[in-house]
Amino acid sequence: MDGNLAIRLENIHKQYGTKVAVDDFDLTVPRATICGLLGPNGAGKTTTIRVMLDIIGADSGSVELLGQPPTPEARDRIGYLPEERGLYPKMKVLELLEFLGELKGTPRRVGRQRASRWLERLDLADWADKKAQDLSRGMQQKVQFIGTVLHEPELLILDEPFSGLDPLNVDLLKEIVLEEKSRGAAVLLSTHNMDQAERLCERVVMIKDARKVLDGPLTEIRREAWLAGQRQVLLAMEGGAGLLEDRSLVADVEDRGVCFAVSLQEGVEPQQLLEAAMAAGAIVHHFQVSEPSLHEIFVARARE
Amino acid sequence: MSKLIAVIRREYMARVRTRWFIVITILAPVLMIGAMAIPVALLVRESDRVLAVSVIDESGQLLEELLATEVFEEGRLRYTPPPDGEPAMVVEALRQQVLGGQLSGFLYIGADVLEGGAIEYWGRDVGLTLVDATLEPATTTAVRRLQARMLGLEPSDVAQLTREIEVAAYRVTEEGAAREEGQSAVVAHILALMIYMVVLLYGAMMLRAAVAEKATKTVEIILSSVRPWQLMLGKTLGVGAVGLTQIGIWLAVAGLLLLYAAGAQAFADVEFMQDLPLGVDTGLLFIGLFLTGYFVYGGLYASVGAIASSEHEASQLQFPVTLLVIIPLLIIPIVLESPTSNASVILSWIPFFTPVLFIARYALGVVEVWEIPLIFTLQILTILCVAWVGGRIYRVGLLMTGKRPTLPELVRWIRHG
Repeated sequence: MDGNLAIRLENIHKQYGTKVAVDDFDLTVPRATICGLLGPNGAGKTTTIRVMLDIIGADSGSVELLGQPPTPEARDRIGYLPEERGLYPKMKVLELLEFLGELKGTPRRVGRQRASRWLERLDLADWADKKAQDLSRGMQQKVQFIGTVLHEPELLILDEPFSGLDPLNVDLLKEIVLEEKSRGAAVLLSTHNMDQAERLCERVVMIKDARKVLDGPLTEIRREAWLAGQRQVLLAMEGGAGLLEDRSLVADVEDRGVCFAVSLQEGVEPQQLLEAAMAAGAIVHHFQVSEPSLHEIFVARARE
Repeated sequence: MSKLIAVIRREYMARVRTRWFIVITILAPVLMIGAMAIPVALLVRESDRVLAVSVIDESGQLLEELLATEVFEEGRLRYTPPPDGEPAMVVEALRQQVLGGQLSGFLYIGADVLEGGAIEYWGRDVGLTLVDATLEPATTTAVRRLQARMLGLEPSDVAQLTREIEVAAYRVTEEGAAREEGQSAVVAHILALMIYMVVLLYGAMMLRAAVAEKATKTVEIILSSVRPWQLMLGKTLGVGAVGLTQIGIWLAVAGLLLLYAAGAQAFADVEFMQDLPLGVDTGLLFIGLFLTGYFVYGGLYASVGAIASSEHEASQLQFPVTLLVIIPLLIIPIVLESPTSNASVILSWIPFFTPVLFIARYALGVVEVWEIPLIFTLQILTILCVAWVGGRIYRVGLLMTGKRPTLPELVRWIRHG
């Protein structure tokens, strides 16, 4: 037992029939840390979370949350926002939040006060006495988010929390996630949106085909990729048609509008790309070599 | 425990506050009374109707006696003479009159009627009450009187001989005996129908409750806080409390009406209201059987709800359970006819039928005291079985969406759940 860890999973294995959903999975997340759980759809993220919360049982392995097994008491100190989420449509928003708080052991009166404050903060105060079904999807999602943090959990598990929100609300929720962290809560953020993970997470864990392929602090992961020769080139040019389709040089291209983010093939130096561009008669406006983005590291790992 | 209470309160409030609850609370007794009053009213009207009948009397002797019988004397049947002519022609003419609506029907009396020949009745409506309870007694009396007269008996002797005997029925009970004019059977039938209605009503409510988390996608949020058994128990108790509230309102209103009726002179004279087999004991048994019936069927409906992933799908899957509720309804006539027969007794012990059939037998006053602990033990054992199986299906089913499980898969859920 380690009281300083928010999550400790050891050798988690879960199988549905012959299909392995989670294979020998380890994970440690310290308190007051935001950790990204990354991976393509169907990699096993949701199953891992469900096992962690004892919603489904693992075939083997051990789970420790906030220094204890996932007992009802431990689960009351956790806030979970699942990817598959909804609200009771006929319930009034404030009563619904009260109920969700009650399920986590928050007395109704306390839950009511906190819920009112949160609704105020998320611009939903006017909707407190409306039925959940009358809210827009984005509003419902904010209400679900309030339900997750209402009982001031020590561990937040958020599965794709920003999907379907407009940019303003994404920023608002990010701000709250960061506040929760400074309050001392650990956050496990499951997503396949690399940009968000990159901006929020100090640590990332990547799952692919039920197995962990990457685990550590983001800065270290980036540096390792740099040391391993992974580069990202930002390139803006006129002409040079066909250059970026040259598979002997370029592994992957992301069109960012103002420029291309290019991942090079293994063993190819950025200089070679620039030379090839010049040779093709392109006018290069911008050429920058940098650490690979999480997206590129992810794509590279996912391709392995 | 506080979580369980939170679930119960939510389930309860979510239902009691709806317009649906208020509408059903008011409408159900109205419908119930309507469903019973309309057939009675129709029967009463039917018995007041005067039927025009004609008679072809080939014997040439019976018609006079027939017209002297009560039904013709009192005017329930009105005699219309047939036209003259060939028998075949007369029959055809009467047939046309029946079809045209001028006649309700006609009797054909053969020449051999005194030697044992039958009488025929031709009409548009040939209901059993008309034929068995009106025409047969009248023609039988007419034939007897005629035969007695032909034997040379005095008219007063003839009247004595052909007098119809009335049999007065008394139901033997622990307290003694009660004059029976069908009121026990009516009460038994009503109580059985009421149990059927409320069990079906709240069972179906449980079906929707069980599928609610899946249909609204709240299941994972809820399951990260409570255990499936807490959720299911909370739902069952919450919906059950809704049922008790509704029945409580109905009983209170019925009680007030009875109090009012007892005070009102108009009802005080109604003999039917006296000797009703209704007391506190019947009320307690009713509530007890409602509760056990609700738990048995609520558990079954909840299991069905757990298999489905939407309310629509759930209502398609509920048929086998609903069939189980309907079967006792079809058996009621047997129990009402002979409540002490072995078949009636044993059928009323079968846990799925007990709520409806046992209350009927109790109202008829034929239940032995030792049967009550027996059936409640059986009810509780069944509830435990249903809860065990249903709980396992519910636990696995909650997180399953999309594909409906096959029967072997369902068995696997139950075994490994």
